[in-house]
Amino acid sequence: MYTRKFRKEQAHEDGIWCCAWSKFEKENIEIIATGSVDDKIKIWSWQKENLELRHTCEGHHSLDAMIRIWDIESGKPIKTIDASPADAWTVSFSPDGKNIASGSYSGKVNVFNLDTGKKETNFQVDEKGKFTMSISYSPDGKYLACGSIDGFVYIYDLQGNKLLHSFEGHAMPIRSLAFSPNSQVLCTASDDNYIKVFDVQNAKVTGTLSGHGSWVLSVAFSPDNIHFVSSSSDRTVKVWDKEKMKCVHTFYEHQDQVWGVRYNPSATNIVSVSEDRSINIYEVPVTQ
Amino acid sequence: MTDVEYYSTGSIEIPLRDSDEVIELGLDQLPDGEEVLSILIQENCPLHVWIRLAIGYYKQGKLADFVHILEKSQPSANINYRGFEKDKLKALDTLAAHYVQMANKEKNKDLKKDYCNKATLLYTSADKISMYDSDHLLSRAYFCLLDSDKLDQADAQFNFVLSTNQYNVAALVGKATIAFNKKDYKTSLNLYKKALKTNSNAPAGVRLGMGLCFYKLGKIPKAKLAFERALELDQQCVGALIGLSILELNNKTTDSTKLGVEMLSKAYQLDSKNPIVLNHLANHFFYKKDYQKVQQLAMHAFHNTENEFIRAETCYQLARSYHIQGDYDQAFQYYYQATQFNSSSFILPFFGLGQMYLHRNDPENAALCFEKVLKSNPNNYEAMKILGSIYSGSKEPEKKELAKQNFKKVTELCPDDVEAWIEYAQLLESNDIQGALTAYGLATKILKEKVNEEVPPEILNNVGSLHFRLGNYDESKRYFDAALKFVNNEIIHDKVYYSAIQTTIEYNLARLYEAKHEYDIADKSYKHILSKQPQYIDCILRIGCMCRDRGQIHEASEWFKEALRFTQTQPDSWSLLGNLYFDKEQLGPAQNQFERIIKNNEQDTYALVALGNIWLHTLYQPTKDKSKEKRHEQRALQMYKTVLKIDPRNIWAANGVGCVLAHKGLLNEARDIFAQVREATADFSDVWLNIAHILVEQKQFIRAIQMYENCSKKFYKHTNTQLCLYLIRALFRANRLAECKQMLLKARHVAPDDTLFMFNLALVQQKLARQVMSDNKSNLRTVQSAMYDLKSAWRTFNYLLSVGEAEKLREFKVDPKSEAKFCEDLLAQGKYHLTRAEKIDEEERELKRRKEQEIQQIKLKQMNEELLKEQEQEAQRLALEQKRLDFIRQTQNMIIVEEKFEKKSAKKRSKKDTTDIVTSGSESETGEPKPSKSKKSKSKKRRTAEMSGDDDRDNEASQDSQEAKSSKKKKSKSRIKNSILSDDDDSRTQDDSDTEKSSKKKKQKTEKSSKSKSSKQESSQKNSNYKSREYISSSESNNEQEEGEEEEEEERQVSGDESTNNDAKEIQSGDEVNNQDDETMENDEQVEENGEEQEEQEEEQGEENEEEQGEQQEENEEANEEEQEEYQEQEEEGNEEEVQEEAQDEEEEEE
Repeated sequence: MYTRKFRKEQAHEDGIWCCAWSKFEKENIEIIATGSVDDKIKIWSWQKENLELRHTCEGHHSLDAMIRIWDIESGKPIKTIDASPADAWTVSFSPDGKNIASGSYSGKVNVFNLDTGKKETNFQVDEKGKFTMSISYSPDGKYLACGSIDGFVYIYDLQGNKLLHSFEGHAMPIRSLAFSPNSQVLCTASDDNYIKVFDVQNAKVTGTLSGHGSWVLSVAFSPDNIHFVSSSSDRTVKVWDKEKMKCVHTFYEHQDQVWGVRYNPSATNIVSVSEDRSINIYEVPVTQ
Repeated sequence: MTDVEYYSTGSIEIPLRDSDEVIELGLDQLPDGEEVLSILIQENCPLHVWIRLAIGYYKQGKLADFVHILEKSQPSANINYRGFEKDKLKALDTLAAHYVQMANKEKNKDLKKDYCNKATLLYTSADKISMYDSDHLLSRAYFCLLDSDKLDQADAQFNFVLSTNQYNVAALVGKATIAFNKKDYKTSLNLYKKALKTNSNAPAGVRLGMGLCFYKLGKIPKAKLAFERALELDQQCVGALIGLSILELNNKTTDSTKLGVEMLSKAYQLDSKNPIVLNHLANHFFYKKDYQKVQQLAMHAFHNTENEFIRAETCYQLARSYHIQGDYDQAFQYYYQATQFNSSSFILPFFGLGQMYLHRNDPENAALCFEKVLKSNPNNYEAMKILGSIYSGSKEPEKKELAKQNFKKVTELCPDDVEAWIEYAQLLESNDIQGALTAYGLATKILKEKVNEEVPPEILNNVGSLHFRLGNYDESKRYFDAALKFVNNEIIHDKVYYSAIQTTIEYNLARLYEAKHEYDIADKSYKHILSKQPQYIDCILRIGCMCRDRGQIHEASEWFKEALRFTQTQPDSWSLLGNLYFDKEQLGPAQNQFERIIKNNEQDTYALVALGNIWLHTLYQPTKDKSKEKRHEQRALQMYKTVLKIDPRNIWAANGVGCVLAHKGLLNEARDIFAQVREATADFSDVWLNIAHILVEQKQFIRAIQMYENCSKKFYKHTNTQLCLYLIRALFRANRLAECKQMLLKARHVAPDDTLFMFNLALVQQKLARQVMSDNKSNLRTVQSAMYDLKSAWRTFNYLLSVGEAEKLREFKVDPKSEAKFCEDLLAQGKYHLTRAEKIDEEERELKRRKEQEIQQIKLKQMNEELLKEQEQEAQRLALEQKRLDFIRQTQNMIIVEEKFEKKSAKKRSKKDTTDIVTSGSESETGEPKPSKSKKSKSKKRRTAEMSGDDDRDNEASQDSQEAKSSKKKKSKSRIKNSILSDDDDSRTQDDSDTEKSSKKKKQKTEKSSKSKSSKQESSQKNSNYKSREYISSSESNNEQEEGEEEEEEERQVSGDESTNNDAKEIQSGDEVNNQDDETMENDEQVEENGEEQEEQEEEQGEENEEEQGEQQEENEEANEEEQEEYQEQEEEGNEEEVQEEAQDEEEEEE
C-alpha cells in the first residue's frame, strides 16, 4: 500500500530544500536531516511513526558557499570547509565516508578530505566548463557522476582516474542524479520534465520516463534496487519501477515544489520535503 | 336592380312607328344587331326600348351589339316622351357601367385607360342630366371602386344613396366591398347580411362576399355554406368555386384535395384567365411534381392580373418550381420578383430567396430574408434555425450572440431537435465549454433514447475535446476511446470517411497524453500517425514542439522545416519557426518568418502581433539612437493598430499598445489598457506582469508585489527566475530587503550559475548589513549575522572578480571591485559596530540584571512586609488568645458550650484575614504592573507606525526592523526612524535611475505576453472550425423529419438542398476538426513556447537588471558617502535620542 503516513507542517520557517535519511547506528534509530532556506538544518529522529526534532543546527547561512560537517548526536558543527562561492553547490559523501566531492562553477570536481578539511584532489570533468548542478558517488565507490546545467552527464572512473563517459543526457539542467544500489544504473532528473535511466557501463539510455508536469527536482534509488523515487515542481512524488520503466504510484501530498526525496535504509519509507515547509513520510510496499 | 324581373321577361316588344303594332323579339333569339338597329331607327322607337334591347343583347353576351345600340341611341332614339331624361341617364350609365366592367377585366393598361376615359366621359354627360339619381350614383360609385384612391368617394356616394333609401342593396353591397377591402370583415359581413335581409333573392355575389368574410373571420363552416349557396344561385360563380376548393384543399385529406382540385378545374373551365384559379392550380401541380404545368399556369396567371399580391404569388409559384428543379438562377429571379411585389405580408418567397442567397454564398442577404420571415412569424422554427446557422458563421460577436439566442429558442421550442442541439453545442464551444457539454449531453440523450441511434464518433470526439480543454483529462480520454472504438468497428464500411476520423481521434489522444505529461506515449502516437499519413502537418509540428520544450532547439527547428516541405501556406509552421528565432534573439530571421505569413494573408493577426512584438522588443535593447527608437516605436504601434482594425477585441494587440505607451512613459494610459485586457481574460500572465510593472513604476509596491506573487502562483509550477527578478526588483525598491534577500536566495537556488543573481544577492546582503550597522541599537546577534552576510558578500564580489565576471558586469556599469572594497570598509567599521553591539548587549544585560535585582528587592520588600504583617497578626492573635485565655480563666465556671462556639468563630475569622492579605499582595506585585507596561509599549509602537505610515516603504521597513528587534523594542524605536530616513534618500535616488530600466523590463515582458496571446488567438480561430464537424449528424437527422403540412413541405424540401451543401462542407471539415484540435494543442505549445521565450528574455532582462543595479550601485556609493556624513549626524542625534529613550526606559521601569 502506498500511503502518506506522516506529515510535519511548518517543519521549517521557509521552504525546505534538501533531506537525507540514514540509520544512526549508535542509538539504533533512524535519523532524517532537513535543510532549509531559513538558515537552519534540523535533525529529526523517526521513531514509532513519529518525527521528533532532536537538534536545530544554526550558523550555516543559506548559499554561503561553505561546507559544514555536523555531528548528528550533538547537533554541533565539527568542521567547516571553505569552498569558493558557487563551488560548493552540490556535495556527495564517498561511500567510505572519508571524502566529500563537490561540483563547481566550471565543470571541475573538488574532493575534500573529511578529516583534514583540505582539498585532496580535483579534476575537470567538463571541458566546456559548465556549471555542475548535481553530483553523486556510486555506492561501490568506483564512479562519480556529475550532471551539468546544460544537460550533459559525466561519469568519472575514480579508480582509473579518467572520465569514463560524457554524453548529452538532456538539453536542460540536470538537478539530481542517483546510482542504483548495485552501481550499475544511473538515473538523471532534469528541467525537461524527464527522468532518464542509463547503463553505467556503456552509457546507453535504457529508459526515458515522462509523467512529471514540470521540472524533476530530485531522484533517489530504493535500497531494494527495484524502485526509485522522484519529486518535481509539479508538487508530486512519483515512485517508479526500474524494470518495467513505468510509474507505479504518484503522491499528491504537497502544496508547492517538492525539492527533495529519499528512501529510508530499509526501503519501506520515503521522505519528501517541499517549498511548502512541510516534511512528508510515506509508506511503500516492500518488494519480496 | 329592380330591373331584374323586368329584364327577365322572355321578350321585348318594339312598337312600330305610327301604329299600335309591335314587333316582338324573343330575348333568346335576338336577330342580328344591325338589323334591329335599323328597325329601331326606322320606327323611331323611344329610348327605353333601345335600352331594353341593348340589355337583352348584353345578356346574350353580344356585347358589340349592346354597345352599338346604346351608342346609336344617343343621337337616334326617340326621346319625345315624358320622363325621357331618366332613360337617357340610364342609357349613359349602362354604357358607362359596361366600360367600367371592361376596364376591370382589361389587363392591357392602355386599353384599360381607354375604357376608363370612355366611362368617365359618359358619366360626366350623365351628371349633366341628373346628379342625384340613385342608380346613377351607384354606378358612379362602383366606377370609383376601381380606383383604390377613390374608395372614400365611392363610400360617400353609397352613403348618399343609402340616406335616400337605406335598403338599397347595391349600395349596401358596395359598402360591404369597401369594408372588405379595408379588412374590416365584420362590418363587411354585416352589410352583406343587411343586403340579404332586404332582398332575399340577392345575387350570388352577396353570398360570395359573405363567404369571403366568414373565411377571413375564421368561420370556416359558415364560409363553406355561403360559398355553396352562392354556387346554387350561380353555377358559374368562379369566386365561390375557388373559395370552396381552397376550403377543401385546406382539409388536407386525399378526398378533399381531389374535390378541391375538381372544383378548381371547373373554375378554370369557367374562367381560364382567373389568376387565382391559375395560381391554385399551379400550386396543386407543384405537389404533383408536374413542374412544367406549374410554370405554364403561373405564367398564364402572371399575364392575367395586375394585382400585386396575386402576381407575387405567381412569381413565387414559378420560383418554387425552378428551385426544386435546381435552376437556382431562375428561382432566384422569381423569388426576388415575388418579394418586390408585396414585401411585408407574403413571407414565403423570402424563405426561398434566403435559401437562394445561401446557395450563392451570400449569408448577409440570406440573413436579411430570414430575419423578415422571423419578424412576421416570430416562432418560425426553420427560419430561426437557419438564421442561427448563418449567424454562427459570422465573425461578428454580436451575430454569434444572436445565433446562440436563436438556437436557445429553437431548442426550447423543440427540445427533441438533435440537429439544433448539436449546432447549439458547436456554437457554445468557443466560449461556454460547460454549456456546450450540456448541449452535447442532451443531443446524445436524444440520439440514444428517441432516435435510437448510436452517438456518432464526431460528437464523442468533440465532447472529448471539450473535456480536454477543461482539463478533465480522464473524462476526455473516455470519450476519445469510445469514439475510437466506434470508428474501429465501422471502418470496414467506409474506409475513407472513417479513417480520416480515426486519425483525428488518434491525434487528439496523443495530444491528451502530451498534456498528461506522458510524452513517450504521445511521441509514439504522433509518429504512428505520421507513418500512415506522412503529411499530417500537425503531428510534425507537435513533435517539433515537444523537442523545443525539451530544450532541443535544433531538432525542433528541423521538424518545423520538415513541415514547411509539405505546405508553404500554413501559417503555423512559420509562426513556430519565427518564435524559435525570436526566443534565440535572432530578430531578423524571426521577422522574415512572420512576414512570409503576412504575404499569404494580410489579415493574419497572429503574425501581425508577432511583428509588433519584434519591433517592441528592439526598444528594450539599449540604443543611443533616439530617432531609431521612435521609428521602431511607431512600427510596433502600427502593427498593433492594424490588428485592432481587423479584430477590435484582440487582447494581444491591445496589450502591445499598452507596452508601447508604457515605453513612452504614459503610465496611466498604459495601465488603463492593461486593466481592460486583464478584465477580458485572467489567463494571460503577461498582462498581470505588465500591470505589476506599472504599479512598481507608480510606487505602489505592495500591490505590485502581490500581483507578481499571484501571477507566479497562477501560472508557474517551478520557480520562474524571470518573475523572481521582477519580484526582487519590487521588493528592493520597496526597501523590503529581508524579503528581497530571501527571494534572491530562492532564485539563486534554481539558477546557481547566474552571476547576476549572485551579484544582486551580495549587494542586498551588503545593504542589509549597512542598515543593521547604521542602526545603533541593533543587537549583537543581528550585527553578527549582518557581519557574516557582509563577509559572504565580500567573498562573492571577489569571486566575481576572480572568475572574470567583472568585464561582463562592467557593461552594466557595475563594478564588483569597488563593491568588494566597500564591503571591506564596512567590515572594518563592523568591528566597531560589533563592539558597540556587544557593549549594548552588555549594558542591556546589566540593565536586565539591575531590573531583576530591583524586582527581587521589591519582592523581598513585600515579602518582608508580609512577614511583618503576619507577625503582627500573629502577635495580635496571640494577644487575643491571651486575652481569651485570661477571660476563660476568669469565667471558668461559666457554661462550656458557649466557650467552644466562640473559639470556632474566632478561628474562622483569622483564617479569612490571612487569605485576604495574601491575595491583595499578589495582585499588587504581579497583576497590576504588567498590564500597564505592556500597554505603554503597545502605544509606543503605534506611534511609530503612525509616523512612518505616510510612506508604505517606511512602514514596512519599520515593521521589519521591529520584528528583528522585537526583543528590545523600546530602545530601537527611535533609531528605526533614522535609518529609514537615510534609506529613503538612498532608495529614491535609486528609484530615479531605475525607472528607465525597469520600464524597459516591463516592455519586454509585455512583448512576450502578447505573443502568448496571439498563439491563443490562433487557437480560438481554430476553434471556430471545430463546429463544422458535427453538422454531419445534424443533416442526417434532418432527413428523418417528416413533413406534415404541405406548405412547409416545400420549405423543407428546399432546405434539404441546403443541408446537402452542409454535408459537403462537413465531410471536408473532418480534417479541419483535426486542425482545430491541433490548434488548441498548439496553443498550449505556444504558451509553453512563450515560457521559453520568457526564459530567454529573462536573460536579457537579467542583463538589464544588472545594468540597473549597476547604476543603483553607483548611486549607492554616492549615497553611501552622503550617508556616512548623515551617519555621523545621526549618531549625534541618536545619542540625544538615546538619552530620551533612556528616560523613557526609566519611566517604564518605574512603572
